[in-house]
Amino acid sequence: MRDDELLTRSIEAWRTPVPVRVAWRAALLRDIAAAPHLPRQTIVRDTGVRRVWMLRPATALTAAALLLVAGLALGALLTRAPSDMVAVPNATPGLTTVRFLIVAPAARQVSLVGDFNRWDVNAHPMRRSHDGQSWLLELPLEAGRHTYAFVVDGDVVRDPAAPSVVDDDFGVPNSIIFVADGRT
Amino acid sequence: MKAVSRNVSPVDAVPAFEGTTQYMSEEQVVNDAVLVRRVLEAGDGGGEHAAAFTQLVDRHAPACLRFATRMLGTREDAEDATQETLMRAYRALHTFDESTPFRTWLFSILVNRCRTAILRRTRRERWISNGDHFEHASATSSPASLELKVELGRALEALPSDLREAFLLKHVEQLEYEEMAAITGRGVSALKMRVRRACARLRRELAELNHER
Repeated sequence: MRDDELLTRSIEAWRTPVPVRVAWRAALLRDIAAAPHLPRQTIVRDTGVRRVWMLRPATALTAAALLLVAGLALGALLTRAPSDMVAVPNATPGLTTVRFLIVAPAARQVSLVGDFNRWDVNAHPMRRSHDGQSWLLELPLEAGRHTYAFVVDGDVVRDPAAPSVVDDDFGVPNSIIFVADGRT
Repeated sequence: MKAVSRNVSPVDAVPAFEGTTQYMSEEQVVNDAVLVRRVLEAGDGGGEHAAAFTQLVDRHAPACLRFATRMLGTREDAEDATQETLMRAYRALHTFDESTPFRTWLFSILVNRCRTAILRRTRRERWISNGDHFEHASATSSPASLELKVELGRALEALPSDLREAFLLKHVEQLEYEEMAAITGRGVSALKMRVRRACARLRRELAELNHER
């Protein structure tokens, strides 16, 4: 059989639908029914582009306040080193403590993954800042080049403030940090 | 390698919803938007939100399950990823932009869930060379066809995940490159390159498997 014919027949096999188990579907629908109700929507339809907007006054005021705080935090973030990473000399020779920060006020769980922890999502959970807007972690790192990313509620997110990104094996953009002894 | 076995009776499965995993008609896209609006406009009480969302689940879950199964290799992981995807979509439905097809939005969530699942897998060997994700087929297939399906699973497994992702979206889900770009966040030319590389590697892999048999 020719290689192309083999591939074509394989693709046809892979296109075979995967059956939906009744029990799985029932459990999913139960979870959805038990989930918190979606916010009641005020639908505003633009005649040109149809979009759904949340326009309740209380929500809008809260969102504006959050945006202001986030904007101030972001402004401060961008005026500093990438990712607001602050490097200070570490007590352990050869290690430099780096502070990682990401602004994610809506996140429920954030962790730091990178080549320094073998991309283990459970190795370095980040803590929420006192104002609830950011997530922080201080980590001693060896001098040199490190690749890292944040995992925000299960999604891999590159550092928005990092100057350089590379692709990892999964097609997810990562960030790079260069750590020197005592200074990033 | 230890096989992960789960007892799934053929009776416990319902047929996939045919026609929802191939090309989507303009009518289909419009209907999705209408369904989303119906979910958002439903009342708070009596589970009306969830009831309206059920139609979207039935329409898109089969395609999500197929992609996740081919991507992750096990039915169990695929069901977990699809469930997380649909729950996240439900919670974030008010952020859905109708100018984007619902399937594109949903698959962008699913692709991220699969990437995270692969990331979490680390050293765990979850690929079921002995046939977990063909368990349903094993109940009805001959030993020869089961062996063939296991080999097909191995050929997919041998692909790096980024190549496998692009290949599945293009040739199994039959998406256009523009939609794939919107889903994956990658450029069209990069995706075309990945699909080409995936096809070349699969041809070699399948030829070797065919030769061994």
